[in-house]
Amino acid sequence: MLILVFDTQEDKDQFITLYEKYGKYVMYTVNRYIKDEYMAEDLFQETLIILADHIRDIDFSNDIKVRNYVITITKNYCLNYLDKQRRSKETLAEDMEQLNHMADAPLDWVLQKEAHQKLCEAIEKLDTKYRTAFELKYVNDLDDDSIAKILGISRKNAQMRVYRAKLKLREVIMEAQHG
Amino acid sequence: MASQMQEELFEAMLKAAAMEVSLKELESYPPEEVIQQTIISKACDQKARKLMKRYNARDRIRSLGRISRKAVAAAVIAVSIAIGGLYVYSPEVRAAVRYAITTIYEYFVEIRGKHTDDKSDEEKQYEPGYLPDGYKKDSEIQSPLFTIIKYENDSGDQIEFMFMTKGAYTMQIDNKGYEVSDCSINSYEGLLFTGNDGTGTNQIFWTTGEASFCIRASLEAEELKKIAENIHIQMEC
Repeated sequence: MLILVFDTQEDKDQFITLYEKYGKYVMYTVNRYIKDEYMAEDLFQETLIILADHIRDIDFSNDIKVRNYVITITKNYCLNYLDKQRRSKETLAEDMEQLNHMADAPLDWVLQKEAHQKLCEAIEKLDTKYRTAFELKYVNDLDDDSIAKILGISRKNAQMRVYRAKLKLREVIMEAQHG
Repeated sequence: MASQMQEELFEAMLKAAAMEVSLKELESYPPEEVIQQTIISKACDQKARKLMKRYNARDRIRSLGRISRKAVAAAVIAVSIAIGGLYVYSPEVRAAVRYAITTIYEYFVEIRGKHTDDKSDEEKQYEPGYLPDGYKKDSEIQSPLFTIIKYENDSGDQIEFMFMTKGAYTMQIDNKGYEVSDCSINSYEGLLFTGNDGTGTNQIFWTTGEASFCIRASLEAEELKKIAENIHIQMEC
């Protein structure tokens, strides 16, 4: 029978790096949304826990990606907190039919700068919860399970949020195509 | 075929647009010098650093649990031998711990031993008879190989107590950041790992032949030894 007790110095260093290099980005972002000092500190700590729990998903070699990841998670956490204050609920099934229809619809587009510009604008206008899931997938290249764990939702819910974001963006492309 | 290509093009467009939007958001933030002026209060900073300590301990316990569940004992032998071969070491084989063989490498201490095969030991569970004020039991992990009990006080400081009672074992304890010295716990020889990396964490290992123990905490070595010397078998309720 064997036991291996192994302290990973790399993981320890990564958490310290995360905190010392990006901790103030977290606090700055929290302060943007949360004005109460004590609540801001609580959310700051909770965000650090989430970031630490998924430290292996972070690519520390790309500074911009890490900053984006940190800001995206923090923003989502803050907006979730504010959302809970308003107690808005999410339904899963309502867009299924439309989703199926859109998935079969032919997409015959031309790559134009205008279409790209409209896509960018549409992403900025997406509801935060869809935008967060979408960015975690397309900017940070995370899989559905990781997205679900980070956002504290089910895998199915994570997939649905990404699909809804893509659904909305498809509509934008089709409108751009057909004028 | 055409629609598959369109899908791939669409995916590429989405990725390009997502990257541009994320870069634009970063640009909306002030320069690094301004961000670094953001104030994190001293209390908040201390809490965050304690969190890091706790995270490391919790991550280690989770890793141990994963290994035992997957029963990768054979793979661990191969990995430990490979890792030992990669390091530059001057092994110092010591018989200082009576019921085990200890080898000190550059980055870790390897302890190999075998517990007496006494059936009555299977039911023995151990616990500390003494803990510093304020510490209460926080969690317990039991596996076929070992048991880890964690105690915590209101400040978030933790004491990890591990014991194992069955069969043969090989344990590797990371010694980077520690000075390793011999110690004695109730006449059983052990090893004291005194931290020198500023975190104040010390750990102690000893074996009686029937069971082996390890305690790790941010406590003075003398306090750690006092806990060790008061380990006893749990009484059944």
